[in-house]
Formats: sequence, C-alpha cells, structure tokens
Amino acid sequence: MAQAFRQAIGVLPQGLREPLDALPHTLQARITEVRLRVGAPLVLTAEPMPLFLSANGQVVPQCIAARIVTANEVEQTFLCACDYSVFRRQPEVRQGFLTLEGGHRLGIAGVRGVEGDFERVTSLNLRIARTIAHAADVLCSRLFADGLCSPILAGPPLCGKTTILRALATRLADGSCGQVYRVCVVDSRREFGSLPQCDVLAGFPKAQGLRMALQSLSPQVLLCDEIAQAQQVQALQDGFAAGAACAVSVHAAGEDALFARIPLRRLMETGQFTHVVLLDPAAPGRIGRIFTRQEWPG
Amino acid sequence: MRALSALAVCGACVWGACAYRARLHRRVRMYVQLRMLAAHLRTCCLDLREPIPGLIRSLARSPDFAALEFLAACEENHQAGRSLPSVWQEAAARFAQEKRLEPEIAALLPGMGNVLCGGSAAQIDACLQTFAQAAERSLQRSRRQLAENGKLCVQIGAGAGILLAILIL
Repeated sequence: MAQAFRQAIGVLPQGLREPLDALPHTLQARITEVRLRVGAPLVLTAEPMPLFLSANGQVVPQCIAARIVTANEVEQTFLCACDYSVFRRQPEVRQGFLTLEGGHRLGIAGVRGVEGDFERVTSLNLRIARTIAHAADVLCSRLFADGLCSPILAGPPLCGKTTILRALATRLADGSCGQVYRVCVVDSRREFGSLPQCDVLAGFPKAQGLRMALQSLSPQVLLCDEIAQAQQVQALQDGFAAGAACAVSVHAAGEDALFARIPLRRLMETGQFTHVVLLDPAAPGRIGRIFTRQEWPG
Repeated sequence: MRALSALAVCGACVWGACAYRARLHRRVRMYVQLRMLAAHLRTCCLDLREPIPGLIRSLARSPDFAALEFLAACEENHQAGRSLPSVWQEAAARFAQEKRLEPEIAALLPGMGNVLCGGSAAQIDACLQTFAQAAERSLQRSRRQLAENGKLCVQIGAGAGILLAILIL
C-alpha cells in the first residue's frame, strides 16, 4: 500500500513529493487521495479524517497551519501526469481524468477552453489504486463456490469496487475460485493494470469493449467497471445471450436509495444478474450486504 | 624577419575572413536545422503522437540537430528532475542569446516548450507553423547574407593581408 502511494506521488513536483515521501509507511498506507487546489491547502484523504501537509512538511489535522498549493505546482503535476505531452492525453483529459502508471487516477477540475480541453487546471485529485489482499475472498466463497454467477457491486466512491473486481478477475482466472475460467476485463479507464491470465481490453469504450470481447475472445466471465449507460447494459445483455456471466460495478450512495438508482435498475431489468453486493463505505474493500434476487424490490 | 612578419599578417587577415565566412555558414546550418526541427516536431507530435520527453531525447542525440545545442541541455536538466517546459525555456533563451538568433526566432523558441508540453494538437500545429515560417524567413536572410558577404569578405581579407604585407616589406 505504501509502495502504491510512493508510485502515485511520483507525478507531484519535488516540493510536494519529498515531504509526502518522508511520511511514515503506516500513514502512507492509509492515504487514499491527495488533493491539490490552487491557493488552498494540500489535503490528504485518510480514514478517519482528512489531514493536511504543513509548511514544514509535517502532517497536521487542521488546515490553519497547512501548506498552500500554488498554481505552478498544480500545473507541473498535471503536465507530469500527461508525460509532458498533453496533446496525447486529450481524449482522457476531456473526460476529466488521467490514468497513471499503476492504475492510479488523477481527477481534473478547471476552466474549459475553446476546444473542450482545460484552459486552466485549478484542482487535481490523485486517487491511489490499492491492492487489498484477499479482497475477493468473500465473493469467491459466498457467490462463486457453486459455479459462475453474475453479481453487481454497488457502493460510493472510494469503497473499493475496482479493487474487488480486479481481485475477482484474478481469482476466477487462476482457478482459486474452484475452476479456471476465461475472464475478459473491459477496462475503459485503464485502471486494472496488467491481470495475468485475463484478457484485458484497456482504453476501449465499455460497450465497444464488451462487444469486441464477445466477438473474438469467447469469455466465460465478463468484468466491467462502473456501468451507467443503456448501451452498456445492452452490450451486457449480448454477453448474457452468448452464455457469459458478468460482474459489474455501479455507483450507489447506500442501502436506502440503492434500488432507486437508474443504472442499477437497468441492470436488474435484464433479469440476468443474480446478486447485488453492497460494499461497506466505512471500510474500503469490505462487503456490507449481499442481496439475492429474491430480496430485490419489485 | 620582415618577410615572415608579412606572411603572418597576410595569413591572419585571410584566416579572419575565412572564420567570418564559416560563421555565416554555421548560421545557415543552424537555421536549416531549426526549420527541420519544426517539421520533425510536427510529424512526431501530430502524426505519430510521440511523447515529448522521448522525442527531445532522440533529437538531442541525433547528428541532424547537432547545431541545436539547447536540446542536449534541455534533456540533461529534465533528466535531473526539473520540469520540461521550464528547462526548455531556459536552455532555448540562453541558446538564442549566445547564437544571436534573429529577434523573431529568439522570441518564439523559448515559449515553444510550453506549447509542446501543455498545448492541444491544434495549438501545437499553429505554434510549429508560425515557427517554421519564421525559421524559413531567417534562413533566407542568412543565405542571402552568406552569398553577398561571404565571398566578398574573403576577398577583402586576402586583399587587406596582401596590402599590409607589401607595406611591411
């Protein structure tokens, strides 16, 4: 975890990187996000509360003594994340994020320019991709013990949806869920990184990637992160029609409004998904509750 | 002794004139390489979508761009961990000052790093087109200068050397 943190902060300018690199490893492992906003304190998102970097390189709980991030530091971070070639990353930048080496994600905010790019970047959110050991253990033992099924992973941001999907893909492909399956991952945001024994379609739009996988890779299991649009659901329908199981994730705030979410409803209406797995927002990577089809409303 | 002195003075005049001509030649070669640089950057950035740091590394090592010393300085400082647009700006500004580049080129070159690293494809295209046109104009002027002054300068140098030699003798 600390290693992932050190890899992710490699895009920060030296003045910010050095104090963060010097933090204790236990603290580095707890940090899930580094937020940079022009003229505002540098914020480290960590459980149970946000932390701030002070001017002398210490981590402090109050923002009064915090170090202020300059416009130049934000710009340098953005350029470094683009490998000093913004023109190459324009399609990603236009979507508001950049995927970095190791699957870390840099969210971008700023002022829109005439071409739809960022004329000025004012905020960056560096999300650190984590590997949680045994993240898919519960899913494997409770859902996949008797063969393939199609779960929907739901949860708010930072609860570990992608982490669990990645772990699940590895476990299904290497046979540690009981049988070796042909697993195909559609990774439109290039967050999954390399997955041994899996076929990964990285950088393709989700619907297109799902159809490509079906046409040429004969998957037994299709995995796709953050399904929201009708055409993506339609591509998943094609996957079910071809006999594949699907594991996907969707955003959801919590149990109360879970089944009211339109993307989730669209997925449920296919009639093919077997479980909705609600993740625990308080503990990234932990399963909160599993709903079987009989427990779904309506 | 006088003969030797006369020969030395004559030789010095001719050498000075030839050195001036060689400087004009180098200037022409530099503008040729700057024009080539614009074309090469355009192809690599916009058609091949190569990343800028790798591109600068290969340009700095290429004998085709040996006259553009700022590329090597740029690469070296970037390898040391500094931001690419700022090292480009510094190295190009120093290069423009040392080589006494024409004001038009001297104004455009340092800012190009910012556009290459942080600009969109359209911005890079516009910037490189402007730069290529400026480099072409500078090249024409330096070629004209070489044609007009280069030969004349050697003749004047040789003539002055012979005259001084006669006076010494």
